[in-house]
Amino acid sequence: MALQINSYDRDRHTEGLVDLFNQQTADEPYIVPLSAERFAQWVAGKTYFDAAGLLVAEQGGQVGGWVHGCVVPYTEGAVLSGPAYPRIEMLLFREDLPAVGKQLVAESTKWLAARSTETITAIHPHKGYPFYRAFWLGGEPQCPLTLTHVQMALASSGYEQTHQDVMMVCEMTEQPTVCRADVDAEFCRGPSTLKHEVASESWAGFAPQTITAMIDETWVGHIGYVVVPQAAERLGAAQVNIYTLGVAEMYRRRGLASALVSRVQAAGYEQGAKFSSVCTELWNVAGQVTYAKFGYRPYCIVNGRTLRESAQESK
Amino acid sequence: MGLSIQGYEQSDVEPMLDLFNQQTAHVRHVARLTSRMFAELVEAKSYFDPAGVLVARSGGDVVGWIHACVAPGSESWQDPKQSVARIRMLVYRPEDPRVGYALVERATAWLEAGGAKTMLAWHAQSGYPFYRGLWFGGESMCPATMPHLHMAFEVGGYKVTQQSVFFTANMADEPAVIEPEIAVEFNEHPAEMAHEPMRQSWVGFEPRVTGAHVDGQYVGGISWVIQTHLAEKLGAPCMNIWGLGVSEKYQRNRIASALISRAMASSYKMGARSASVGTQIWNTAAHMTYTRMGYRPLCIMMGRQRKVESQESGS
Repeated sequence: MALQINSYDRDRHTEGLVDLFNQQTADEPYIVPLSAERFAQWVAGKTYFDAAGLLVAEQGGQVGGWVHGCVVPYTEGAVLSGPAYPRIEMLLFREDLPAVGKQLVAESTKWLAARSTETITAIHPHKGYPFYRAFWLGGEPQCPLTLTHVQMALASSGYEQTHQDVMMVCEMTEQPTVCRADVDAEFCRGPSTLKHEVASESWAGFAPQTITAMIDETWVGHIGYVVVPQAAERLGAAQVNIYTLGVAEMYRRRGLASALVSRVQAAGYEQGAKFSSVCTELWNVAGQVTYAKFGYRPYCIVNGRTLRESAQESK
Repeated sequence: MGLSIQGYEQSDVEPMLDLFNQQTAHVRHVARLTSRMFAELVEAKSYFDPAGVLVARSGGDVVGWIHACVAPGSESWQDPKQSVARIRMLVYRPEDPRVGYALVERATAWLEAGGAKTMLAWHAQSGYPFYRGLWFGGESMCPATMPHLHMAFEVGGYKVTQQSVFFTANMADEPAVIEPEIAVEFNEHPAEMAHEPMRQSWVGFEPRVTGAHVDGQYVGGISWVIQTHLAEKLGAPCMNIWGLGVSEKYQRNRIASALISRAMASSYKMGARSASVGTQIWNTAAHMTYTRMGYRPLCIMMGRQRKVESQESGS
């Protein structure tokens, strides 16, 4: 059966694309299932969504895979800066069709290389998270190593692993206890300040929150989190994901990080979350030990890949 | 509760194996170990050094263990006189990452004290002196599905330098034998052990080879083994392919598929009802071949390496 790869057409492809997403992620409770409406709101509705970069592979009228390439600026940070970066933000295909995965990556890489000379990344945290944020393993979506065939397609196409995090998760069976810090800090909770349009749009459909720790009206730390009520469809209850945590250097080792994590757990629980997750670097001892203390356990490794320079040149 | 790490004693074997079996209870391609198996398949090897087995205790309980060794290469092409410093096993509970960090640190110090400048962790590069056939087939590496092990190695300075994919296939029905496109004679026999470390690496197993010959000339072969110990978890023994090669001149004649199908059919007659194989993550040709024969990617396996920085580069 001949394989056809075409750019996304809403009327023709949405149903098959969403079905494949749901089938491929069925065993992954920290990924929220998609519907056509959710896809429109969370993905295709963004101003920087370019349908030409979403390539759909069809075989015998069935969607066998799809890849989402895009050229989008850095989503994090205080100001919109730097160029738009070429990246593959999603790749899904049936595991019995490895050739489809390879071909999708090749086509997407070609499409991206024609639009930017910057290094191409794949599901990498380095330049932020323009798509799939919150509903794909939390606020910092990367590629889980459990999607083995997706990793194979990227690796065998010249995308080298250049980043590894560990996703840690915790089940909150009872109201979490709020920890006091060793210093007298004031904690303020509110919607996260999203300082530019790309940052705001990256969260489309979700409401990220921040708890800030202040001493004498000066910032000494903060934690960013998002409650994902839709996670209940697979987990049985909402989840709260921590997507950033920072404490001023001079205030470290005074229990502020623990105070912030415990406040997120308590806030999430109040909003119906019975599960919590966070990604931290694989080498980050302090992060891993802190989260372990609060009941988080290593759940899976997620990674980001970068197209090898020689592979990029050959495109 | 204080953590202590001490050298291994015979009396540690039972609690060590209890922990091993508890931590791998859900991992279908890891055999359940008994103290008799440990004595016969691990301790009895001439290159086994009890000083390299370190046991972590907390409150009198064994909470982790690590097996470091300086052992020769196990493959036919490796120099049996050249010993390599490596870690071949790490077991601890994910709840306390500090146990993993401490075990890796102590094992690394032990290997360094022996003069090692480069150390491998669960790496394929210098073969498989221990746990072969017991831990993810005949080419044991560290599965991505056990993230806490990778956290400990990453923190200990062991970087990923190899990635493989572990494929599995169901053999509920007798596999069909595939014929090559040219006239080939096949024969099956016990695998030849090229040197003593190779023989010892396979202690307790009966590895076999199916060879392909054209006009009396050897043109390819497949090495495989029946893993009887996996029957407890899988319901029947599992066949593992640990080597496959076809001379370049004879490739693309379906000889590889013919060899795989013969190994599967033969192992089916010997009671195996599933099969497994590890292949490099970039090896598209192998992915396609195994996928065509019903294999599906199960998980990514990683090998890690740590290099002691020279004084010049470290200053």
